[in-house]
Amino acid sequence: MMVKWKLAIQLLWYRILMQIGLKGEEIYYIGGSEALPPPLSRDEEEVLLNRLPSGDSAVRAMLIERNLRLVVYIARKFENTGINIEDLVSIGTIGLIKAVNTFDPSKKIKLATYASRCIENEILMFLRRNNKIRSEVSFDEPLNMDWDGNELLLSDVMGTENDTIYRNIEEQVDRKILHAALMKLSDRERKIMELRFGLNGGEEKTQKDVADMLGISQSYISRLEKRIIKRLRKEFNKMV
Amino acid sequence: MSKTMDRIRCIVCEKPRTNGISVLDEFICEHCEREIVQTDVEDRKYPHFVFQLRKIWCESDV
Repeated sequence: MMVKWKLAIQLLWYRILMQIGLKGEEIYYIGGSEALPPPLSRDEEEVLLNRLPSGDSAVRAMLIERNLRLVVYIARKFENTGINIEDLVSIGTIGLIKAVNTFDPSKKIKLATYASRCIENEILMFLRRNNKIRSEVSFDEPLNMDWDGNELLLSDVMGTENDTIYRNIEEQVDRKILHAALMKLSDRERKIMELRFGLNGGEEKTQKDVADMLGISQSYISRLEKRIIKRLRKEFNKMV
Repeated sequence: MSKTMDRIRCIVCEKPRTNGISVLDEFICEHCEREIVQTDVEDRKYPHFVFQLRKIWCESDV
């Protein structure tokens, strides 16, 4: 009963402060938790948690304020991550605000347990995001600046082979022309070329293999091949 | 603890507001509190909240 009365008076005090805008000038240093309000006793917490679902902002404020020591305690564990303690504590506070706003008293879990998870999770998520950003480099990242103030960008020093872009295009055009030239050959001549050079995705065959397949001598295939290539070159040059 | 008369100004949006919560004598309006709860670390607004909430722990001008 005493706890309820004490809390009711404190909550009233919170509301009055909020209503009239009285603002303390006390500074709460991160280095020492002496100035931080004490944690709630079990009875106090129970009374406040019963009132949490009503949406009373003074209840939320008190639950947040009285759990701030948790924020400092958890934030300090991440001090060696390169993020300054002010930011860590600030991120932890966001985690605590989220915890108090999303806490479900009907689930039999202690607020401190839930809030600890939320605070730690908030800091871990921030660190993960930070690491991701650090591993991404922009092409417009300035590397240096000359005397005239012109920035040297990463994209300025990144090189590519000169023909990277049009190499593929040229190859595609060559293939099309060769295909058109092949169409001008007789069926037998085209067959010899396809077999010898694996033009339709097939395997390249030797002159002997092709000769055996077509039932003619290897020397004849050799002569035919020279003649066909000469003709193809001529057709090819006509189209370029 | 000495007291001064100030209008309640939200430390996050820096606008004078009436409804919200007071944490270590710093006021966060209802709207910003809700936004903080709904904002993910990936959100572009997040660094702003981190920066503004530092005021809870340090003197406002620091």
